[in-house]
Amino acid sequence: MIPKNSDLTIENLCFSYPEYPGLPTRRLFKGLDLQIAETGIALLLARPDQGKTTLCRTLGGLVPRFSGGSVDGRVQLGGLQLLEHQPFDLLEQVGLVFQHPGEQLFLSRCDSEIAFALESLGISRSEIEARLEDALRAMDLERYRKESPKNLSGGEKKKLLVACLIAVNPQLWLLDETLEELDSDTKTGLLRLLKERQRTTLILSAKWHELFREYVDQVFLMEDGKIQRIQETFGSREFHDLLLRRGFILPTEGLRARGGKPRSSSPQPPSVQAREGDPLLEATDLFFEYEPGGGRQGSTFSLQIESLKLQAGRTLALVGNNGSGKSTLGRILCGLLTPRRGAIKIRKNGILQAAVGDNLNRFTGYLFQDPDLQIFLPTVFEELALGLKHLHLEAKEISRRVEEAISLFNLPVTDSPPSLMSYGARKQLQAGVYYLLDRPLMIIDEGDSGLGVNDFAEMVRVFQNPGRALLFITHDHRLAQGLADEMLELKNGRLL
Amino acid sequence: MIAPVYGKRGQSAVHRFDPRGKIVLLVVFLITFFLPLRIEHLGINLAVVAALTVIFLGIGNALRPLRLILPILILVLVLTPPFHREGPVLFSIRSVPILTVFGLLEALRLIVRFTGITLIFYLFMGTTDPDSLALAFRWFRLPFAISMVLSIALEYIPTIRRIYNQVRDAHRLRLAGETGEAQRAPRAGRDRGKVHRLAETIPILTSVLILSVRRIPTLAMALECRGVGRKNRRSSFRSLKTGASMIRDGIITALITATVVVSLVLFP
Repeated sequence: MIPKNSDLTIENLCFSYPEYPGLPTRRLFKGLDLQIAETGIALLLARPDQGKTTLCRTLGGLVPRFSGGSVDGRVQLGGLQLLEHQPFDLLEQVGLVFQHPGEQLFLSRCDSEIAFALESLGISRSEIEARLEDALRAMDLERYRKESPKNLSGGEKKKLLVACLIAVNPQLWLLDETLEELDSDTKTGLLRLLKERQRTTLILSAKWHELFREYVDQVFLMEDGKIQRIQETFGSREFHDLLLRRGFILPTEGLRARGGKPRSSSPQPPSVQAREGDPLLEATDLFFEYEPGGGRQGSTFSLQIESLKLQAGRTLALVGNNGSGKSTLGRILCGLLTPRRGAIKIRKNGILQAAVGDNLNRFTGYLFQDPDLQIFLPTVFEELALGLKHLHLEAKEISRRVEEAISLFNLPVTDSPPSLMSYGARKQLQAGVYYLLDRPLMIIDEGDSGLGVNDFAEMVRVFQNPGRALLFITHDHRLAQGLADEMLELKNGRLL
Repeated sequence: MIAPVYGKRGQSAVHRFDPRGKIVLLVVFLITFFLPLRIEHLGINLAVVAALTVIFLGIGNALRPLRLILPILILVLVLTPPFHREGPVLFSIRSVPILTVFGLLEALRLIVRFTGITLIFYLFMGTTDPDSLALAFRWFRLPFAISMVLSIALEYIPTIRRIYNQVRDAHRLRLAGETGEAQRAPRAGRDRGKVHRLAETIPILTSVLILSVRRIPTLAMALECRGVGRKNRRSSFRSLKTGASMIRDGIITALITATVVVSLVLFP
């Protein structure tokens, strides 16, 4: 069944979602056309909710098999009609990395994850060993060979999934926002590897990374159910303007230089009493390590922060390689993890006071990397209103604030079910929930993943407030420089 | 791995023991707890299993599953006797027997069985990683699909536990204001806080259920993307132990099985 060549041709591809009670049938693709030459690397840019994940899954044979709905048109890899085959029969032809890596990992060891697809192909043990070594080395995962994938950070999980593809080496690689959450070294390494392997590749992204310029052969834009080829020359002013207009890059001057007022209208919580520049949180001599075998990286990882200050009205960006401890630091600052040593003080009634556990929970809002762990109610309204109901606000006030959040975060109507929203829209909803919780300090953990830069910049802008502090974790240095007042870098659990 | 759910990932002899032997011993001990034996015999079985668990995993780890099932054991102790009122009466209200010797023995029998089964699963399955277990099932000629399902089901237990922890953290952050008020209140308020915390477990469990159910189709997608469903013969990257250690563990398994069978025959 292996086709002679691996040109990818999509012709007049249409897809409509299945009907759900109370929701109109939505036609997502209205005749997509796309061609990628054999060994070519194509980039498909699309804002959230335009169908990137659905397109990937359609090419991989998963849609409409698992999603329902109807698909029409022709998708051809070489001479092979992809829509006529089941996903397991396309193992050697199509490899897909899900946008949400946790959904794709199901075994208890990293090496077993990589070997699984090779076992499905019936490959000999010695061959599996060789490919496994190659894949682990390529993604710098050798030390995690026997680790549980669940103990890895979000970026490391993506690296593991790429390693799974490297081992199988299918003809068509589909990378659904795979470059998000990867550090810049890994991004470069992955793009270089794609070039060397000479596989037909479709990268889907809501953001333009400068690295693409060197490695990508074609750029497409997907919008309103159609695909158009947008780049002639990467260097042209027209191309740059288009990326800027569509929100795939941030203006060179960044957000701070726009001089706009913060979009949030919420006043400062009265218990804080801080003016712009006042310290809101101070952490000193923090030391944390996971219990051996009980957390990520076993006993080999420790986090040590000598001093960290967050001031009212300031925005900090925290950058660092995958597994450097960024999320761990975020979880410590909001009181979900307790450091073995050190102190955290938060501003209360105008002075800094020592805080642990619940005090930090009330002071800090933390947007998890995975939005699905923070949203679980059946409608957007219920999700946004939950925290407000616990504050015993009147129904009218709850509705007013929910409407405000819906407008600020570009959310769909109040009775939309979050589970049917795109990953990016779920991230926006997650941010809306925490916006309404009104915490003096907000931490956004890789909030830019799955969002366009403009959407993320708007999110940051909503949270910026003279009486509050904002810390956002990202791998995008350009975004960090453009949006934050200061950039901190974490390496192996230490601030540089 | 499943081990960190119940105990820490360990290097004890039972952790290293051949998974095929563990499956055999699991079945043997399960049979002893399901047979209609006298309460003394069941008690001895439980004592043996408990002793093995303490010896190999330590007292702290042995108590962990018991803490989890304690509410069920209490319910069994309270609710079983009223349904078995035969035999000498130990306690009655207005000549209506509430607790009889037979009722008490029946409750104890159920408690011993339930505790024994829990400990035996904990001892043998909680110390085996799902991949090795799947290999062992396949060694017993179980079809790949079935061993895969069993292995994923076992792997799902720590996954659900992890989801629970993360959802609990999310709820903790989201509803922190209210919890804080309850904690600042005087004692009566604190008691209300405890009740409230118990009530808060329900939305957490609901969220966990929703998230777990939502994972099912994505898990199915992930499996098919990696070739589950193909007709060709699968190969295997990892293998179970062979040679001296396999023979040693096999002999130990046979000896324990023989001892159990002989004891059942001699002391029915």
